[in-house]
Amino acid sequence: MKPSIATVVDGGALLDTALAALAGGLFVTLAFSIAIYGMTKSADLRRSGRDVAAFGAATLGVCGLVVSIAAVVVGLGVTLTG
Amino acid sequence: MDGDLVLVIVVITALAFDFTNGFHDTANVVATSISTRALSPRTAVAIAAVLNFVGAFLSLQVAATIAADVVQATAITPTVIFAGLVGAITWNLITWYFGLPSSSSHALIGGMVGAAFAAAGASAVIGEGILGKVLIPAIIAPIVAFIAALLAIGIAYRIVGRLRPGPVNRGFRHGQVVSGGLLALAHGTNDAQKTMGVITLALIANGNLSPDNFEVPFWVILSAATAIAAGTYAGGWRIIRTMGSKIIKMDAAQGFSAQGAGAAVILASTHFGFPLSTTHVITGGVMGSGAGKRLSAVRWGLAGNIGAAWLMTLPAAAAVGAVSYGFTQLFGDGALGPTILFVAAIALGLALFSRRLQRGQPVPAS
Repeated sequence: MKPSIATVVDGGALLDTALAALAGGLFVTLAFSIAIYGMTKSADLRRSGRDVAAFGAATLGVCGLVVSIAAVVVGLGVTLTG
Repeated sequence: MDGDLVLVIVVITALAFDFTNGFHDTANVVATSISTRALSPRTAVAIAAVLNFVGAFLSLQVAATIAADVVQATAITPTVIFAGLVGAITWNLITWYFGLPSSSSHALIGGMVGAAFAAAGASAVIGEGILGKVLIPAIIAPIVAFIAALLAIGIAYRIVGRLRPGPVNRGFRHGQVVSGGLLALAHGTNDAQKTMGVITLALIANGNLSPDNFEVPFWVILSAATAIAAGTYAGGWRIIRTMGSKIIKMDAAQGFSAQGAGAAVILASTHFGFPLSTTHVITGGVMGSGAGKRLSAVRWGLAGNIGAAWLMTLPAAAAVGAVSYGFTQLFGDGALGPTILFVAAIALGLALFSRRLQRGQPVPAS
């Protein structure tokens, strides 16, 4: 009996690969874009004298940066083990 | 004695392939960073070389696939593997000469399959492994990279689109140092392993390793990592220009999205042992980030030419692999045929290399 494509292809592994790649690529871009938004907005707000809002935006930017770095580290750890 | 001599030739040829792989493919890795001026060409290539070296040590899943799921290790000889490598290197050099970013990985697999088929017939080729582990992932991976980059650039533009472009571009350029590094690391994890798999396969075919207990010797890992890093550093400036600016004109956010998507796809595939074409994936990412801005930004005609080169890679490398095996058999089963072919291949490679260097106009290295 000839094997069908369904039996030859590990669909689960392919789907996991696609989902992990999509999730990883999108999440890191999202987090890093938020980081850039926060930092840029903070600079603009500080120039217009709105220090409290600038601090909030800077905090958002730092959080985005930390999350994006953490996402890269965790992603590397997960994909390169096992 | 003859077997050991052929094995030595196979190892040298495999490392030469690894070098050409780095030379040929890693230009694709650094192209986006250079195109958006996130990094100078020299710095980008140096970082890519180091991270390719590091990446080669991080996983062995792809090496296992190449050694066990493409051709029957017990049905072939080191001469077959050598002929397959000649097929792959020849196709790599031809596409490099014409500036086409085709797939080194598919050239390698095509060469191996062609030589194994010529030597031992269809029974030596593991059709299920090639279909399930190579061909279908080869189709899906660039599509996933395209979609990931398309969505990623959409998210990025939605978040930062109304901000001043200066700081935004600077931010994404900084991000590209990381995303480009990740891409180089991912390239090392997937592509260097293919050479490790081939050398391990030759060691199994020659009786130096057991086929029942897959293990890549450390010297194989170290030498493959060094070869791909050296090839990367040597660079492939002509292909850098094709990938970095001829497909689309990119801004830093697009470069970041393309590299991030490409790295994510390659790393996830490495985890599951799929020997991807990193070239296909990166091109998918670049096109996705271009299409995310506007469809007309992508030069579809050039992308079509690249696609045609992709389609030709497996059969062309297989044909050269089969012819190479036939050539070695003109001189019997010993080491004479592989030795003559080895010398001829070096001469051809050097001739093409010097001709290209005389005619090429390299990108300024600063």
